[in-house]
This record gives sequence, structure tokens and C-alpha cells, in this order.
Amino acid sequence: MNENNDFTQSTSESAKQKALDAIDKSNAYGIIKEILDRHG
Amino acid sequence: MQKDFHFYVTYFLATRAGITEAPAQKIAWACQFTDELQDPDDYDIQTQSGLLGNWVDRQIQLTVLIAFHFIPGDNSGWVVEHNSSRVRKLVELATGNDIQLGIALHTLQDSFSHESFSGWHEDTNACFPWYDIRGFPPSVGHAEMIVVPDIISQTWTDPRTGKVRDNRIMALEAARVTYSYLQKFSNNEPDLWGGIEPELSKAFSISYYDDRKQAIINLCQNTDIRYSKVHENLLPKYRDVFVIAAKEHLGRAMLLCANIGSKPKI
Repeated sequence: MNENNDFTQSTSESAKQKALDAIDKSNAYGIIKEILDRHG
Repeated sequence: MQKDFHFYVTYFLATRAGITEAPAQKIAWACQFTDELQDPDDYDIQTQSGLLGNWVDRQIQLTVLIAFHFIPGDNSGWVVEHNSSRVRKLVELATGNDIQLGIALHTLQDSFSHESFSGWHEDTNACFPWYDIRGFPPSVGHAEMIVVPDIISQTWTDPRTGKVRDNRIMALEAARVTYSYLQKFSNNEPDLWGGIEPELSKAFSISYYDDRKQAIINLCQNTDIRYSKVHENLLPKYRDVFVIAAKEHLGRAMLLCANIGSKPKI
């Protein structure tokens, strides 16, 4: 097993930014809105 | 599923698959912590909703219940099917990262226990008529059946179909599929499932939760393993990593659900 599989431990702010980047990249917000509009 | 499966069985299977102690603990911790991250104010995301009142919120249904616990199957709209292509895709995309794998395995395991329920508030989840007190919770997921579908020793009759569901068989199959992914993750160690299955089968037949949990712990090489200690150790180190992994899981789950079109009835 590779112990370095995970992201390196990071500060809260940079982790939040990474998380926002990740979710923006996937366009999840757009898809969530589209599904909720369809099923709201 | 409950903690006995999400944490202890996952940890046991990870170590049997040849994964060493530290990553085995991380995978199992992430698998269980997916049921515990309930406060979006603290973590900027939530992966479970403990307040039944929030379950009627459409956004909670989609981004929490469906994304992490009720991934739709392949043939029936938003209804969960065990080991569906969508949930397998989530696990495959997570392979290579301990925390992401733990979260995806949680969703995979729940695809077995939550089969035939959906994460939306809809008629398909209604188990009891309106005048029956047991039908009081909203028809979201398996809320009307309370925790029955998640108790791995339980045998119960699904009121919607009249069919008997033996959770012991369901949990054994969930364990087999979990093990196969962990084995792949650890570079295909020898397949030990033939020896593992009877051990788990015996443990899953124990009705009392604490005794069942202890029986699973007794199967582990490290019999000192306790979720509380692992959680205390890993949360400060991997809290941010978990949040990132959960958001990536959410993004992938939403992409996989984007093409489902049928409208819930309520």
C-alpha cells in the first residue's frame, strides 16, 4: 500500500479552496440545480 | 448499514485483503465517518442528515441521501439496486485514495441495505398506509422502516412486497463485493474469501449489536481496534482531506445521476 495515496495534510483554507475547485470542476452545482429544478 | 459493518467489517476485510494497518484504519474510518458528518456549518459539507425533519428538504435528499446513501440503480429510475453500475463507478473512481475509497465503499455497502428504496420523498418508499402510526415518518429512503434494513442480523418482511428480506445474506454479499474491491486496491492479494465467508456468516447471525461487533473484532488480528480511538486519532489529521474527498464524491455522484429523468410522485 502506498501511504502517500491521500492528499498531503493541508491548512483549512487551502483545503476548502481545493474542495471548491474540485466541485466547480465537476459542475456539480449546475447539475444539482438542474435536477432540483426538474424534481422540485 | 451500521457501524459494525461500515467500520469493523470494512477494517477486517481491508486487513484480510493485505492492506496494512494505517491505510486499513483510514479506509474504514472514512467509511463510517460518512454517517457522522452531519453539520454543514462545521465542515462546509454534510454526508448524513440525522434530523428526520431535514429529510423532506429536496436538496438534502439529493446532495446528502442520494449522493452518499441511496445511489440509484440501473433499471428503476432513482430506486437503489445493489452493486449497480453507478455505485461501482463511484468505487472505481475513488480507487487510489484511502479516504475517497472509504466514502465510496460506504455508498456501495448502503446499495445493498437500501435496495428498493430511493433517496427522494416519494410513494415508492411508503411502507404503511396513512392511518398506521408506523407510516408517520416521511416516505424518504427507509425512514418508515426505521433502522431495520440496516441491521445486518435482521430478517424482516418488506410491507410493500410481502417478501422476506434476510439481511444476513445481503450483508455477506456486501462484504464479498467490498472485499473484492479492497483486494484489487491492495494489488490483488490472494483471494481468501472462501475462509472469510463462514467467519463473517457466524458473526452476522448474532442478534445483539454489542456481541456481534465483538465477534467481528475477534476476527481481526488487531483485537484492540476501536472506532472511538481511530476517530480521535484520524479526525484532526484528515478532517480537511475527508471534506475534499466528500465533495469530489458528491460531484461524481451528481454527474452519474444527471441523466435520470423520472419524476417522483410526491
